[in-house]
Parts: sequence; structure tokens; C-alpha cells
Amino acid sequence: MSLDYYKDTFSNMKPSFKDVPSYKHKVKSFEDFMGKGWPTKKEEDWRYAKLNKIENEKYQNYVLNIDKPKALFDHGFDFPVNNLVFRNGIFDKQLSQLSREVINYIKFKDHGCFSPLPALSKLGESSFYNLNISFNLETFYIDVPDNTVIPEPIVFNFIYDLDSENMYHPQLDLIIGKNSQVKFIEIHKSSESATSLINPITKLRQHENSKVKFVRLAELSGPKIKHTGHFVSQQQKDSTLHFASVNLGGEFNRLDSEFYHEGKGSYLEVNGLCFSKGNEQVNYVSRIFHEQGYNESHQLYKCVLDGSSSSSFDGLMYIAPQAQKVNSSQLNKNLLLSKDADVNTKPQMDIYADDVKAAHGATVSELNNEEIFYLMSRGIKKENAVKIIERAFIDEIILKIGDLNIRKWLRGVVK
Amino acid sequence: MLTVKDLHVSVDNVEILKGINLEVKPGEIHAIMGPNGSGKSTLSKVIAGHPSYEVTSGTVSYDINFEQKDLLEMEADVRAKEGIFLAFQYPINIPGITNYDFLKTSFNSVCEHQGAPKLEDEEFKKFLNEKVKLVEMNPQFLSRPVNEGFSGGEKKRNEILQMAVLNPRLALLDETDSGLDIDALKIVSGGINKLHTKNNAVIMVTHYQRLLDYVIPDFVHVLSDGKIVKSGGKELALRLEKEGYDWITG
Repeated sequence: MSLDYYKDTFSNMKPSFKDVPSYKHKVKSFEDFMGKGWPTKKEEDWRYAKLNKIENEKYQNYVLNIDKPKALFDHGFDFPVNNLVFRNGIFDKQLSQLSREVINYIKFKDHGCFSPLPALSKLGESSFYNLNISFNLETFYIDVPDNTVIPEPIVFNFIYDLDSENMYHPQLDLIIGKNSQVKFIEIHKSSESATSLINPITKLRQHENSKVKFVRLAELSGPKIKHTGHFVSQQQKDSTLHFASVNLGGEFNRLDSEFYHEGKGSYLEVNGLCFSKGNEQVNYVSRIFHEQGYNESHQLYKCVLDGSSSSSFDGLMYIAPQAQKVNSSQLNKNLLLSKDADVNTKPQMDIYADDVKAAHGATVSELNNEEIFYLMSRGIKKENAVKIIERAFIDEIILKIGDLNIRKWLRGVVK
Repeated sequence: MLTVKDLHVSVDNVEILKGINLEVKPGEIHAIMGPNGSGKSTLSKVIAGHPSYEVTSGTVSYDINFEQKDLLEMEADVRAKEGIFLAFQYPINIPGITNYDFLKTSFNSVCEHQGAPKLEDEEFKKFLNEKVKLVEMNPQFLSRPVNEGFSGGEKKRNEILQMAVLNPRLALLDETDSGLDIDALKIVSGGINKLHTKNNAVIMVTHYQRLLDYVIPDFVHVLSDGKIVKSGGKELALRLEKEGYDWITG
């Protein structure tokens, strides 16, 4: 039973963080992880997940300096960015390039000094979340002061290129001051040979009237790689967040996200896009909490599935009794390219206010033969016709990326 | 150019075409008329290579470089590259690709197949501008997704623009006149006439004589219950307009 293995690993690590402020938090999180074990299908959030005997895996908690550097993956940014490179979960100063201004906003905190989760959060019950808190080695922390505009995107470039069986638990803690504007790109990319568990947490806290554009990409190449990402945002009054998540490849590729409207007048747009093929599996859990009124949220998730791959969407919009005049929508659309592909979709609404506008829905469709024939009758080969139709399907998400440079880059990534 | 012999076609085991014979030579314009459900659209789709139709017997041969080739052996895209064009009765919307990109992809696919050099943006734009003028289309339609938000008439005009760009040897026009007002009909038929030469041929499927006032056919065929029951010159269409189909189909 691999839980004993993690117990020993945690015990060995314990002396190294016994003096840090998060000591109790880490010990509690590990106890929760041990008490619950790995997620099973009996948990509603994990009902559609196939974790392929994760209980037999013995991931090592990666510590720097056990491998030689390999060539950096090229992400093809042809526009200026602040590029923060994290090799195998650890910040690599030498490979990073960032402006002096951004350097001033960066701090590190050892061993998962994360601020507490919002009261309504369910992530504290998640085994993977607790595993991250227990085994995290450092939190990368950015605090952008009030009234600051950073024009060039800040890229968190997480690269995983080790062949051995490892687990990675990076944490990003991002605080955006009043009236400030920032663009973030968070990338998790693995090499073909990686056999790992990538288990990051990102927390974004936005103060009044701040504006954030956030693109998160999990591009996994290895057939034996699992990604269980977490994203939590908290928005204060009149703030705006445009969030887009793209999940490509991997044996298991999942994002658990929670978005909190904590002030009035905030705006949120959440877009998700995934492609899966072979036996790959993608899970999206997306929860939006309207705790205050007069705010707006729109979530759209689209997935293209081929082979025997599967996807699931578990969406929720919660509107608290005091959150009147909310406008909220969620939609999940899926395109099946193969008869063996499998989709589970569950858009849900939990509404306690009586003066709100809320909509939800889901669609699952196959390729339309009439569309394919139309393109073929104009001299376009069948495989290219299918690609054009797929592109048409995903373009709805790509076109929602407001920054034209990022949009062009992302279009190249999902080509 | 095109020889159809004893063509039988079924969909879901229901026979739609029950032995069609048709000979089309370069420079000719053929009109195919007939009551609803007689198989007119099926015939044009089968020639263009729609995969839903099963050819149960018969042959369709087509001249390629002075050789008779079995058209039924070719995929729809290869037929298009060899000069067969179907203007759809109900053109399909393709939301994620602009009309311009679609036309360029299509044109360059044909060029590549024919061994001709592909056109880059600048050259293609010049070439396309001429074709846009031919069908009197607003150039703004080029930057919009294919047929998305187009009116019925605009879609039909877009079909003729595609025909102008691909310059087919055999154009199959499936009820291109339906949904057009008189002005649009004049523009669309004017486009067809300008594109018609002694080297290419047109097969028009239509319900009404009015298109044939503008595009004068050499032959008119009446299709009924999956068979060509009468063929004649343009005067046949005039008689059909006056007397209906009963005198032929019984």
C-alpha cells in the first residue's frame, strides 16, 4: 500500500520545516490526506475520473540537483514576456528573464505558507490539494502594488523533464493591488519520457477594480503523466478576470477551479478547451461562487475527443441569498471524433437569490457529414476538412482571448 | 466529357435513381427538371461524390486528359480537383473559417493537384477581386465566416463566387435559382453565363423556367421517379411551365 510510502517520506521531510509558520497546516493537511487516501469514484467530484491504480504509484518528492539540465522547451513567444522558468517544480533564476519592475514584486515563502481557503471552498477536502500543501517546498509569491500596470505578460513556465517517477507540488500565490492590471500565462509542459504527478496550486487574489487576464496551459506529452491542477480566484469589488484553461494530452489531465465573487460589480469570464486522444482523460471541475450581488460570470468549456479518450465537466454556479442582480451562465460543448470517445457532463446551478439571471447547458455532437462533404466538394481532403471543422469548434474559445499576441501564440499551440 | 450509363442509386436501401442515362459534352448546358422527389438533387450529389449515396449499378465516366476515367472511384475532393463543381441547394455554414481563407485553401488545393503553383496572398487577392466583381458581391463578405449570417440570396451568390474561383469543367447547379429575387437571379445567372465557355459544361437542376430565361439550355431533361422520361430542347421547359409534368409522367 503506497500510503505507507508517503507516510515515511513525509516523516523524513518533517524536520526540515518544523520551524516554519505553516508547520501545523502541513501536518494537518497530511493527516487529512492519510485519513482519506486517494480519491475514489464514491466521491462525487471524482465519479468520472479513472486514476489507473494511482494507489500503487510511489512518487518521489523532487528535490533540486539530481539531474543534468536538458534543453529548454520552446514555447514560441514572439512577443515580449516576463518568463519565469520552473524546472521540475523549482524556480530557475538562470533560465528566467524578467524586468526589474517585476523582480521587485516577487517573494518566496518556504513550505506552503498559503493563506486559508475561502469558507465555501471544497478544495480542503481534496486529497491532491492536501498532498500539495504537505509536500510543497516553496511558494512563489507575487504582490503587485496598487495602481500598477504591467504591460508584458508574466509567464510561469513549468517544465518537467525528468525520466524518474516524481511528484511536483508547486504553488503560485498572486496578489493584485487596487486598480492594477496584469496578464499571466501559466504553463505546465512535460517531456515524452516523464512519468510524474504534476499537482500545482495557483491562488489569485484581486483587489478593487483590478483587471487580470489569465491563460493556463497544461500540455502533457508523456503517456504516463498525471496532472491535477488547482486554481482559486477571489475577486473584490469591480474587478475583472478573464480566465482561459487549455488541457492537452496526458494520461490524466484535470483542473479543479474555484472562482469567488467577494465584492459587488465584479466580472468573470472562464473559458476551457481540451483535446484528448488515445486513452487520455480530461476532467474539468469549475465552481463559481457569487457571494455578492451585481456581478457577472460566464463559463464556456469545449472539448474535442478522439480515440477512446474521455472527458468530464462538473460545473457549478452558486448564488448566495444576498447576491441579487447576478448574471451568470455556464455551457459545456463537446465534439466527438470517434465512436469510442466518452463524455460526461454535469452543469449545475445552486441559487438562493430570487432576482438573478442564470443559464446552464451542455451539448455533445459528432462531426457533421454534410459539412465535411461541403469542404471536400471544394477540393479539400477529408482529413483537412475535419481539421477545419475542429478549428471552427475551438475558435469560439480562442477568439475570446482578448490579447492578440497571446491569442496568436495559443492558436499555434493548439494547432 | 461526362457519360452516365444505367445509373442506379440507393439511400438506406431505398432506390432513388432507377437507371439514368446522360451524355454531356464540352460547351453544353443541360437543364434537369422534374417534380419534387424525382431524384434531381440525388443525381447532382452522386456526380459530386456525396458518400451517403450507394451506387448499386451503372457507370459514370468523366474525361480527364482525353481519357475516360471512372468517376465513382474518386473521392469527392479529387472530383473537385478534376474540375467538377457542385453549387449546393442549401450551402453549409462553416463558422470558424473566413470566406477568404476557405476560397484560398480550396483554390490552392486544386492548384497543387493540377501541378500549378499556389498563389500567395497578394496574387490571390488580385485574382479574387476580379471574381468578386463578377458576382457583384460586397467584398466585406470575404472576411466573414463561410455563409455564417448570409441571407439565402447571398449564400447562392457565394456559391457562384466559389465556382468562379475554381473555374470548373463541369458545374452542377442544384436549384441555384431558389431563394433569389429577380435582381439577384439576374446577377447569378449573369455570372454563370460569363463563366460558361465552349470548354466547360453546366448541368442545372431547377424547378422553374425563369432561370432558363437567363441561362439558355441546349438540352432539357425531365426526371421522374428516378428516370429521365423525356429529353428535348429549351422549348420543352416552356411547355412544362405551361402544362406541368402530368402530360409526361402520366
